[in-house]
Amino acid sequence: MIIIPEIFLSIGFLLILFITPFIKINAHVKVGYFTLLIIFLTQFFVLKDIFLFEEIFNGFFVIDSFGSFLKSIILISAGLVIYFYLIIKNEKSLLRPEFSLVILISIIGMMLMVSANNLLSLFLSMELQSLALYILVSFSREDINSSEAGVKYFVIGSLSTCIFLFGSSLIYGLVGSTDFSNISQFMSDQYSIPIMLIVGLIFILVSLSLKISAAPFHMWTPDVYQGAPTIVTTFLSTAPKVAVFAVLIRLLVFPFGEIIVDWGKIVIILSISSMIIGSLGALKQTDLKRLMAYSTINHIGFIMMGLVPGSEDGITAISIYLIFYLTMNLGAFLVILNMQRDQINVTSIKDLSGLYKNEPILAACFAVILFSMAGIPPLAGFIGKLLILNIVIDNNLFFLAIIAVLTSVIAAFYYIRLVKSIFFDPPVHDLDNFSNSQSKFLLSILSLFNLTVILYPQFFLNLCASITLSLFALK
Amino acid sequence: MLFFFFVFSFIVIISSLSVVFSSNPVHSVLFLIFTFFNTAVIFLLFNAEFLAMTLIIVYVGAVAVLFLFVVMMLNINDSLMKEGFLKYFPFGLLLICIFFGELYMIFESNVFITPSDIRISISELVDGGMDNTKSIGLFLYTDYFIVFQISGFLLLLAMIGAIVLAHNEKINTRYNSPIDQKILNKKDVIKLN
Amino acid sequence: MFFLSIFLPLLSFFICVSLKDFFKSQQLSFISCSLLFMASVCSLLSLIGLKIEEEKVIILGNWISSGSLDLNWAIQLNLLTGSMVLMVNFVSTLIHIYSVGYMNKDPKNILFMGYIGLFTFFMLFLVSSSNLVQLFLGWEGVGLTSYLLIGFWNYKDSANKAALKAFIANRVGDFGLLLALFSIFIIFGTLNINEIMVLVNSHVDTYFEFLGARIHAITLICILLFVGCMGKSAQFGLHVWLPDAMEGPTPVSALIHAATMVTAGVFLLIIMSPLLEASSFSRDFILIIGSITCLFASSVAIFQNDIKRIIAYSTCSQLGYMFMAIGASAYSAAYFHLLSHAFFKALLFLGAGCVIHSMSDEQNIKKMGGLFNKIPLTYFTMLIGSFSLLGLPFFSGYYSKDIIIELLYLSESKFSFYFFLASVLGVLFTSIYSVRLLIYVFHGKSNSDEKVIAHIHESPMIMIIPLVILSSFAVFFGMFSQSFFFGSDHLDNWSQLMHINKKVDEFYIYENVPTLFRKLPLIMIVIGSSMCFLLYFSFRKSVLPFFKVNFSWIFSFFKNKWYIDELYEKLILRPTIYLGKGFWKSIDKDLIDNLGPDGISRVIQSFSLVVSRLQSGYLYHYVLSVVIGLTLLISLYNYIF
Repeated sequence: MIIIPEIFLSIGFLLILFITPFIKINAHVKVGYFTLLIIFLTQFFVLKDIFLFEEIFNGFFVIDSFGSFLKSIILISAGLVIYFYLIIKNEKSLLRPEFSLVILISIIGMMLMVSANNLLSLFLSMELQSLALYILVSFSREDINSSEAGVKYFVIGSLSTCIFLFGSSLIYGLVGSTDFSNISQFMSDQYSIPIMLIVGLIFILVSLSLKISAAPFHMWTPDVYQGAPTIVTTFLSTAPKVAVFAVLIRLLVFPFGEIIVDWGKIVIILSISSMIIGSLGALKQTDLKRLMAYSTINHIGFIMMGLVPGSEDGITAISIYLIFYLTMNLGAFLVILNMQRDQINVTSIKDLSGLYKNEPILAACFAVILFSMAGIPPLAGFIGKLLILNIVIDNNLFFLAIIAVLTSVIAAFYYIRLVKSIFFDPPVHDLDNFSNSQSKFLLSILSLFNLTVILYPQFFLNLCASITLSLFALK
Repeated sequence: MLFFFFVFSFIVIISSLSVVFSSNPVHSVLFLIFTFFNTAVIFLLFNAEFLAMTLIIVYVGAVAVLFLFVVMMLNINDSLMKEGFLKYFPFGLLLICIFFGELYMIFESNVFITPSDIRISISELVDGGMDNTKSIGLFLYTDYFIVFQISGFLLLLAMIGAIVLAHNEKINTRYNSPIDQKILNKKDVIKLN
Repeated sequence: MFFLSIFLPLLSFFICVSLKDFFKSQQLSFISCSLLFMASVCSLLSLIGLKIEEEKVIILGNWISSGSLDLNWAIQLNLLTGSMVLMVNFVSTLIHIYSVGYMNKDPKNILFMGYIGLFTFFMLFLVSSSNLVQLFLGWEGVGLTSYLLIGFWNYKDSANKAALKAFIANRVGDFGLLLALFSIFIIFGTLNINEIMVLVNSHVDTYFEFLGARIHAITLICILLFVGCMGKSAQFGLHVWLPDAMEGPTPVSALIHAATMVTAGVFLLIIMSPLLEASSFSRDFILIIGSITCLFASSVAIFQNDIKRIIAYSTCSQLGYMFMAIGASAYSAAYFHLLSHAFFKALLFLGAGCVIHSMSDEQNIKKMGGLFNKIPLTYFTMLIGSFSLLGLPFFSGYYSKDIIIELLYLSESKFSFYFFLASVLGVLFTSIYSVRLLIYVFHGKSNSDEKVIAHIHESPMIMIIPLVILSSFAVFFGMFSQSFFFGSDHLDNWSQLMHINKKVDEFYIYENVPTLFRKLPLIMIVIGSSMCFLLYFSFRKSVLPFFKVNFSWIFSFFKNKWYIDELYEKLILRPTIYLGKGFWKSIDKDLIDNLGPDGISRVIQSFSLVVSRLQSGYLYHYVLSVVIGLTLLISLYNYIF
């Protein structure tokens, strides 16, 4: 069976769910390692079939190398998040075996999303993913902020679901099917595309924008990012973004590829507003997690630009940018996760000041990651931005490129302000020592990756180009 | 037939508006139940008797009654809910008008597909004399098997989520585990000499 | 071999700079001198091994490859570059050896050795480059090292100011050179020197259209090139830095401001000679500037009291001669004078350095006197240098300078006779200041205090040996190599490398210049020296004070260097500073900063405040924003797209 990774993951999930009650001591750690093991094995299954192309389950899902590649990225980032969870000092309320389990089930949802080939299966897998995320956000029960964030996320997520369903019902009403290939067939049959189809697509786009927090549908992001436990925020800002982007790409390129003129403009609007909001909103923030939320919005806007031409190069650039974005975000959050004073997590920017004096190597790694986020050459973030801008300019969208560059400049300000406070400000109160050698090691690996990508960018280009090829084979 | 459809859909709209606008939460829930019933009637009009029954059993029988209990237990102060209503009302009205106006224009310009053109073959089965419940069952367990499975996972997750969020492990209370007492060794016990 | 002769000085620089904390200064001095010596030997060998009319280009690697611009790192060996490299290496070696003695007491002496090694490398790089961009790199490199060396004693305020002045004056010239390079690239499409030479003939009639004016392209290029040369070779107008540059250590003055760097402009014009031949206007321009420089510098030199400044002005005027030779199309004569001048002027500077050394760092010639029997070797070598500078028969200067004067008489220019007269007048002035210098320094009564007199001593051998070697060159170089430059059988050697004027031929000159005019320089020397002797020996008491009292304005005019510095300050510096302050205050600070960076950042900050304010934290606001966004997108789609 070709959907084996997901099936394996589900069976593993059920297995863990079954044995969890029998583990008495340190259940969350043991379950966490079990989960890691299962994710690792699944990764093997995913990579085994990476060059396969097949529609399965009556066309509800499709297996192709684009999907498998993104699945593998999702697995890696989710695995890293679980590993972070295991190595850092968590709040007491997070120390429950269900944490890893819920992450696991949301991974199942994401993997299904990535390969969904039908609005129905897409909807269900997206719900599976989102529901898991709602639970994760409000996981820390004793923390009022966490609960508040959970409610906000849940309500906004339900709204997103409604909008998605409404859009899909419009499309179904026109096409008579929810299957992607049927929709594509319908459009190539039509002489002129009915406006309702496009409106349906707009609804779906809005719903997906809510999920990836593209402006102007970003409002929940800062609140939820700040309120959720940091480890959950880490997860929230990495794997689900990849999955939703995969959905966006698959949806826009394959069934709706014909009406690129129509959705192109909407994607442009979304990306411009995200870039502007993401860069402007972060300037006044004092909380690192809120800042990261705006940073995410800014990055999302940047990535969406690559979608506008709907071309192979654009998707390649997006895939590369996503990989780099994940490494940067995971690195930044790893630092935030480890910021503690008197055993209590702190997330204010002020707490970072003078970090350099206590932890020079760590501060340097963090600075590398921040510079990379700002897009300073020769770091990874620069390469990603360069590739996307290249695509945009190749398609003569100069105004878009100009806005992108300007907002990047503004965004660079707040990243560099962080670097300034790390290196030059006098420390207010010393943080606890980052005694955690594993996270130091991981952080240095992540920053080293960001530093050295410039030496072998061709590897990523070739990899992603060959992967995206499969997406266009379907056309 | 069409006449009945319009009558019931009108009732659905009115009663769902009442859900939102009624000041007493208990009334709201009751209006919700009323809405469900009318929707079930509309389903029946289109020969979807299985859906109609499900709606009544699941939503009215379980969900809405649960809502009612919750609302009654929480004892919500309704004067707080009204606050700010007038402030936002004109703008909200304008927004709603624009939104629905646009939707109306879009719907007007397009024709929906007729049921015969729908590419899902469920209509064939229904036309072939199979009854509603049976054909849905056939589909769910064959063609739509994977979707059904995912829905199952969704429910499982909802269950886990409810337990995770609601279950309270009494960590701080003085609670003696019966198992711990049972497996206690004699030598571990403090002796009073 | 040729490669080594260019890069060994660079090695010397690196060794001196990087190892200066690990070895003793004597060891490093020895290493650096021997490296330079090896470089000289290498350049001599490569020149001997070079066949006549042969040209070798050693490509070291690709530098710039962009569109039609394709430049290599390449060094070029031919008769011209080979001989120039040999001269530079040779003089530099002697000066390295001399500096070991001269800078003995200085704590930074190793750095000094390193710097002059670096300078030598850049000069060689300039000389041997095969394209103009690489030449420009060397050109800037020597400018940089010149700056470093003039300001070497940076605890002296005057040294810093002089270094800055030199750098800025050179920058003006460099700008001209850069413009010249750009226009060359526009016209010829290449910056390779040999390729330009081939293409000259096909672009004789090219014009630039600029603001409605038609400008002859090659003339423009030549003028711009010459502007570059004016800066580096201290021609009238941009000469102001050269006298001040004497704040640097004396070996620096000898190496950079006499023998090598200042002649780079002459060298550049020589290799670009085919271009100059295509534009008679630019040659006239060069003649005019050259003759003004010649007269100006030599007249000012008469009234100076600082021994090094006198020699610096002398350098300036000799450079004027070289440019006049170029203006008269006598490129080989200019080159010949460049080489012989390098020897005798380095000799004069080093001699002056010895004098200063023995006088305990006293530079004012009025405070010297009667030194001839106390430091006989220095006296003797200075005498030889001065004679060579004067152009007494059978010294080097005689051969090289007289031929320039004669060729000026023969030049095609309409005013050739006036230029000839100017050059002869220059000889008169030269003889006056040279003799004056010798009289003040070595003869008469000593005017310094007891302490200094008691301390007067001959310089150590390590400083005297370079002097002796250079003086032998100052005497014999002209005699032996004259036929190599002007003999009719050797003229063909040079025709590959520069434009050869057929008049540069002993016999032609002999036939066409009247005897009186040929002997005129000599007569001028006799007149000038005798005037000097009369003034300073016989009528010292009566005439000089009389002049000083009654014609003080003449004195002050010349003493203040024709008021050029003051003129510059009034005309350029003050207005520039005034304008700069005005722009800084009103335009930059008030207008641009307010509207630009500050204004934009303020606007962005206020926007960001708005964005943050929108984030109210109320859920229903968020939901509302979603609905608004959705409606907005749909209406945008419906009504705008």
